[in-house]
This record gives sequence, structure tokens and C-alpha cells, in this order.
Amino acid sequence: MIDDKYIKLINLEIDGAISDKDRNELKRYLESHPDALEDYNALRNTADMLDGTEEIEPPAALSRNIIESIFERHSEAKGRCLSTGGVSRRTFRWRPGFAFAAGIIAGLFLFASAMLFVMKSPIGEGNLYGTITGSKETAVQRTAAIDGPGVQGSVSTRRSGETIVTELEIWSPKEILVQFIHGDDIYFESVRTERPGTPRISVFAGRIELALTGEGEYIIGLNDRSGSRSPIDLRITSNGDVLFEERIVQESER
Amino acid sequence: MAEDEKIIMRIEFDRGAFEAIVEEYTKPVFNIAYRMVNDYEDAMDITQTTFMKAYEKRGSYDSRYKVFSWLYRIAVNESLNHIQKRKRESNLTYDPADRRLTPEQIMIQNETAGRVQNAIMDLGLDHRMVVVLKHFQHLSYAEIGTILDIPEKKVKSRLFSARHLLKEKLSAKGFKQ
Repeated sequence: MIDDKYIKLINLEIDGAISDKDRNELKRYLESHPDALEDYNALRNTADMLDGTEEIEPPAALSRNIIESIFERHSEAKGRCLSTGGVSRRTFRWRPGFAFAAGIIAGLFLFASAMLFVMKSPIGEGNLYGTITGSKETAVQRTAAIDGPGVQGSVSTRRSGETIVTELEIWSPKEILVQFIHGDDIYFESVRTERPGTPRISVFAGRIELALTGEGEYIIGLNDRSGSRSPIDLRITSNGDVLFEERIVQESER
Repeated sequence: MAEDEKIIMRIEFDRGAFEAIVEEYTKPVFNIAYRMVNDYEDAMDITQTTFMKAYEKRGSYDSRYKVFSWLYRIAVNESLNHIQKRKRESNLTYDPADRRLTPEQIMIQNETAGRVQNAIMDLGLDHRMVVVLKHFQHLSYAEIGTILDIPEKKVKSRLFSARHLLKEKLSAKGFKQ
């Protein structure tokens, strides 16, 4: 009859979870108890047999089939209900008519002003903080540091197909304004953050703005549902200081 | 924010992020299901349902979990649901160990692996789960405890007694230890 204590130590030893002290104690015990040693060997063989059993190969097409069926089902569901979480586009579609018209006019004015500003101020090292350089169009999965007065962090952008994802990490309690300036074909999907509360979001014709407050990580999703592939200018500012500017273009245009 | 939480958040906007998860975890999830139900076709169904549920429940992902432990938890639960459903459907005592192997299964299982699998199917579900997660997915006691939502101490006691039972069963089946 093996003492319960040693049954436990035998199992811990088999799992590689035993301390050196206990291993030495177990060794001494097994040397003086042949029945326990026999049991240990049998258990060890059982464990080795289990560990040595080869994995079963699933069908080669299983992953692909799963992916296709999930997204097929999801797109059907999405077709029935446009709202997909976060902030719904519908929120902005069903405002009273006069507010909508006023918004369009204001948006066009701001868009024209922004475009004028962008055209007059090409992106260059002179008006940027941190490591962002050049006016060349940048493409997918680019990560860069943000380093402005009292604000540090990082930003990465990715554009592939309809999806435009911007990930931001901010290490400052200051308010950050994130602007996406685009043609008229980009839609705001949602913003995700672990911070409580919702960032302030404004959607204009040709421009989407998010005011983010406080340290944290944010993932912002935009959608180019019409497939226009028009470039999007991302601008991040704080108190009027430009922290980051980048033109996000389609992957294939890299 | 933990890296795994970021991955789940990315799924919201990025189909590629979810595709990468499916590609990476199809095989382990399939193997968990297969070891639990001992049927190739059923394991395929459980794998599909696992990822379907993961995608649908991504909004309620609990950041205490790693992506793999979140998926394995769903896979184990789906396997248990499947076994229960089979029991109800057959209206008889369902014993997956009695199910016939397909020619494909026979090909992929050598004699030893087949006997080991049959011995595993003789175990109760509580014992089977810990053996599958420990010996086929090589997880730690703590990871198994997280997936099964039981204390580490209970993981050890179940695993230790499961291994003793397996040793006895394999001996009884004439398998030389």
C-alpha cells in the first residue's frame, strides 16, 4: 500500500511539477519500496503513452470552411440589421432634416477648409513632432511613435479591403483629437477601448473626428463599403499641436 | 490592455484577425473535440460550432482568459453538450467508445493510439476532460483550472485519479505497461 503522500509526489514528478526536495524524498522512498517503484513505472508508462499519442489531423479544408460559413452567416445577419455594435451609423442618419442639412453645409465648409489647409501645408518633417516623416503615401500596418508636447504614444494603421483599422496607444491624460479626412465614401464603424465611457465622436461629410481623453488604448474602425479606395488623411492633434499625420491608402497601392 | 484582449477587439473590424485565430486553433480544438467524443465527423461539427460561438460571443470575451483558454473552454463545453445531446437522441446509454471507427479513423490510429483512446473513452467526463487538456494539449494545472473553472487542487486530484484509472484499464485490456 503506497502512502497517499507518495502517490501525490509520483504524479507531480510525472507532470514535471515536483520540487527538488520532494524529488529526492520520492527517490529515497521508491528505492526502499519496490511495490511503489512498480506502480511509479506503470504510471510513468501510461503518461508517456498519452503524451506520445499523435495528434489527429483535421481535414485540410476545415479552417477555410469554418471561416467561410461564419462570415457568410454574419453577412446575412448584417444585411438584416445594419447596426453592428459600437456607434451605429443609423444614429447619424435619422437626425431631423434641418440638422442634417446644416450638418452637410457645415461639413462641406469644414471639408473645404481642411482640404485647403492640407494642400497649403504638405506633410513634412517641419511641422511634425516625433518620428513621422515624409509626404509619401504610406500603406498598411505601419506603426509609428507619437511624441508631442506632453503627449506620448504610438499609432498604427491598417487598410485592407473595406476595412480601415487604426490602433492608438496614448500615454498622457491630455485630450487627443483624431481626425480622418476622406472623400464621401468612408463610414465610421465603431471605437473600442478598455476605458470606461465613450469617446466624443463627430461625423461630418468627408470628416470623422474622435476626441479621446486619457491614457489608454483605442481601436478605431472605419469602413469603405462602397469600395472607393479613396485615400484617407489621418491627423492627430492635441491643443492645436499636430502630433501625427499620415495618408492611409489601400494595401494594393503600396 | 492584454495582447489577447487586443486580438479579440481587432476581430470587430478585421476579418483577417479572426481568420488567423481559426487557422491557428482549428487543429487543437478539433483534437480536444475528437478526444472527448471519439468521432471524426462529430469533432468537425464541434470545431465549427466552437468558432461560430467564439465569433458570436466576442463582445463578451472575458479578458481574464487567454485566447486559447477561451476557445478551449468553449470547445470542452460544446463537446459536453454534444455528448448529452447524443444521449438524449439515442434514448439509450450513449457510449462513444462503442461507436464504430470510420476507415479514415482506422488509418490514422495505430494500435496503441486506438487502445489509449478507448481507455480514455472509458473514463467519466470529469476525468476525461483533465486528461485531454493535460496530455493532449499539454496545459498546466492552472490553465486547466481556468478552462474548467475549478481550483488547481481539484485539477490535480482528478488528473491523478484519472491516470490511475487509465493504468488499470490499459492493464485490464492486456496492454503491457
